[in-house]
Amino acid sequence: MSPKNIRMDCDRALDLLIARGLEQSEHDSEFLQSHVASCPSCTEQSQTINRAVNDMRSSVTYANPAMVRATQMRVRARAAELRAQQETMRPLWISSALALGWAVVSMPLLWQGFSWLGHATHMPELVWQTGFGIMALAPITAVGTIGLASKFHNKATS
Amino acid sequence: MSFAALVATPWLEREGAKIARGLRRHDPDTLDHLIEVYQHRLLRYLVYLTGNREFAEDLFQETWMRVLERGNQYNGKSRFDTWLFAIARHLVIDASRKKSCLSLEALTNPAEESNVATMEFASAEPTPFEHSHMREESERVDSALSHLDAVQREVVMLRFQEEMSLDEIAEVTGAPLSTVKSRLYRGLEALRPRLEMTGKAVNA
Ligand SMILES: [Zn+2]
Repeated sequence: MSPKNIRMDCDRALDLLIARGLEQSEHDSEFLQSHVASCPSCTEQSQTINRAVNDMRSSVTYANPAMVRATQMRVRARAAELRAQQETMRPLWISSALALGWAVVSMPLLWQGFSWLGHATHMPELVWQTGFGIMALAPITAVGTIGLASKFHNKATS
Repeated sequence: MSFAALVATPWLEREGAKIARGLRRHDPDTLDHLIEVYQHRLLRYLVYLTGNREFAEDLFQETWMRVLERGNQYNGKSRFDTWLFAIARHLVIDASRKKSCLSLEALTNPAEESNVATMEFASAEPTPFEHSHMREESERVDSALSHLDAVQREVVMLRFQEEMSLDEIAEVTGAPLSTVKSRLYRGLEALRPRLEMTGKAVNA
């Protein structure tokens, strides 16, 4: 085998070695086994990985139960705050959805109403159309403003 | 796909979706359960990254607080542990910037990897759970790993202790697959003489 081919085999073996424990095809496993058996460099690499794996698995770091409990308590307290915030935001979301729904449904009627009023009172078009715009956007603007205000309030209090 | 993977994948997806639902609702029981399940693995990862148990414990709490705050960002489709570790990693980077801990800067800037100083690696404090033999082994590997750069130590740990795939490690570290591989190769390369030396010393 040429040195280039040997190098390629070693590269492939190394790729398979660092993926140990993960899913490998039967073909790859057979190649790895036979290559490692005949290549001193890859044997050494394999041994290093085995040693590292064994050493790491036998190394022990346990979390201190008191620290874990303290974390759980802190997380619970903050979760309760966030849930309370979510609860206060819920009516706002509902009213936003309603306002949006109402705006969509009432838009054509509102347009017709303003158009009729504009023509009946001989108002300039720009005036009644601006009036329509303000009326159409009023509920959404109001809800949006309240929403933003409560969001800032929540951020400030958290 | 193997039979095991075929069975495990839908289960993981269901589990992920359940966790995502709980996190979106800020459900305290879900969070309690997650802290319980991932406590040792998360702390171990943080200790490996920071090299300091006390610092790791502070970040442990902060990680869970951030999981709670950003819970709605977990989509439930990927593994929860990779998402958790990525959050922990970001916190380590933020905190080490504040502490101006130079070696961890390389976690964000791979170009600086070659300049990274090795860290003082404090082994975990003994706990009632630890057996003396295990403690000896722990000291041995801690000292071997302590000579690795933080980025190399991280990938070696994620691959061989956490048994994450290379793709999952790339997800946690935000690094391309090729970078993950090269860190792993270089980490093992650096680890080899240390492990051989300590192996001989133990066998002697
Ligand atoms: Zn070889």
